[in-house]
Amino acid sequence: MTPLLITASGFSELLGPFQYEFMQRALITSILVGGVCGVLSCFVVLKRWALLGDAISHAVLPGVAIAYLLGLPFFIGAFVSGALTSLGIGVIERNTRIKEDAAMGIMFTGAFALGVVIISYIASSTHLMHILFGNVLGVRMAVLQLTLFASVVTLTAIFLFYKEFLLYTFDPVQASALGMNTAAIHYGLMMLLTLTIVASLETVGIILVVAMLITPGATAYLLVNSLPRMMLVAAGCGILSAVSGLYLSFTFNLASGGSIVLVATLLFLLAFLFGRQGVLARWLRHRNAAARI
Amino acid sequence: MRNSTITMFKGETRDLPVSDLRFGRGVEESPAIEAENIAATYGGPPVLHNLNLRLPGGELIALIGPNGAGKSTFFKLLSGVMRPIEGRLSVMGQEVGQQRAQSAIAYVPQEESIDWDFPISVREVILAGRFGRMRQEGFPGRLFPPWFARREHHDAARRALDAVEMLHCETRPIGALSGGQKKRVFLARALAQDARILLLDEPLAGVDARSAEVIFNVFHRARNEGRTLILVTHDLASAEKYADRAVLINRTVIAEGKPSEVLTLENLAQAFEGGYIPGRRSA
Repeated sequence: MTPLLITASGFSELLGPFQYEFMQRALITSILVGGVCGVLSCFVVLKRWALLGDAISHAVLPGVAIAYLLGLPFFIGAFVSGALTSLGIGVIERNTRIKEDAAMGIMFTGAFALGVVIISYIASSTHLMHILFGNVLGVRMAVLQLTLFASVVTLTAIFLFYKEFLLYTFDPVQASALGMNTAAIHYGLMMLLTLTIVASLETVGIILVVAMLITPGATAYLLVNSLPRMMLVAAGCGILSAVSGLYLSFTFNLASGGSIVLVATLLFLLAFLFGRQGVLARWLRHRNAAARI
Repeated sequence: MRNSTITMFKGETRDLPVSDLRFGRGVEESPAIEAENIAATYGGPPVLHNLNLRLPGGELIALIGPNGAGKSTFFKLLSGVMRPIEGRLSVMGQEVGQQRAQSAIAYVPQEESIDWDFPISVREVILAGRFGRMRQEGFPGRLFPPWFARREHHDAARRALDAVEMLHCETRPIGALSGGQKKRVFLARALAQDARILLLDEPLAGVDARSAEVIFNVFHRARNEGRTLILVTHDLASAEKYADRAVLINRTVIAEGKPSEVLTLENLAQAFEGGYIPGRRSA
């Protein structure tokens, strides 16, 4: 019987994998990563930071590698290299005629290449593969704790500075006119993004974490018309993707990061086709309008 | 509101709210805006230079100039987004930063600078005008999201929305409104903020006749309450008709004073450098 057929006996089979301790750890980590990435993805989508998210996620790699070399906690290294790279992007942009997109492309591929070279020198390729593509099934307790810490910090910050983040995203000039420190909000949001990326590394991997920071938000954007609801729907999509991706990964022995992102993409496609502003709804409205004429 | 008793003319005394004391006409006060020798740049050649301006409070002021004249830059300086590289800029006798912290400056954006697909309702936009006041409250208003805000903030938002006759659209997404309605909502945000200085970037561009009427009414009421309104406009006829004062700029102040005296063909030709002058034949 395939696990997707839910019958009385099938149901216990469905929950079966979660009796293993490593699966419980993976489940909790997935829920945290899916939820917190979902909430942040709303700001990434609305602020048009998709490319920046991509840049930061690649830029943390050398930091992870150097921290490993020095025996430091790897999230410290990741944080520092993510921050340095975003600073470098700003320096190139301000001091040359090169525009932001090219500056990002140069800095994040350069940082990423440095990370790949260092890791290939110090560790086996399986280790590199885990960082690049993630392996939620192999999540250790320390990683779970880091993810929990990052989630609590990020969600608390978004709750406490919701006013600032909302107005900075929607109308930065008014935010400034109201005395908000827009530079601090900008870098604060970037720090939260870096922290979340670092916390998601082992679950979905560096390359695919950016999908979790864009797709759930984009899906929710097609479905609702208020930011708080958008954050809830995006968190839901993120969690649903992470948990079902984890399940598929375990059951069919697939790459966990890839499975999670594929589910997220599928949810986006469903919203795109059948959502309120989706293709089907547009087509129906068009047809009804034509029928009235 | 706190009240102070002041002695009026002929020995008559009257209770006036503190705000009238500070901003009302006829009372000795610092100018609403005072710019001395301001220069500003985005890194290249200066967008504004040697700009000197002294504007009294409680007036409707039209800011006129060609594209690229530095009108928006001037607004950015006043709202604290940018700092001048030279000169001194004060708002009601204080640094811009101090006035910002008191929610004294409101900004009504140009249509193009807002993402109209943003998932936000009319009510949430207006409530954002109260964010400065909420932040002044200390805990919990300082830190909690706006849906936990005190009743007074929600009431102020509703009053502001009512003043622009948009209460019936309170729950609609901002993107679903017409051009004129959007302008009215952003004007209501400035009213909800209870700002002393309103910076309005082309508030009348692409606005229907009904909205224009509502907007002008609000302008006059706000001015009569002692607020200062500075609007960027390309509509010279309206500026001449409605504004108390006109400021013609092109990187620096070309002319400033009564609209009929400022908006002469000679001055306009100088400001627009012989190019197209909206509403007039080019000189």
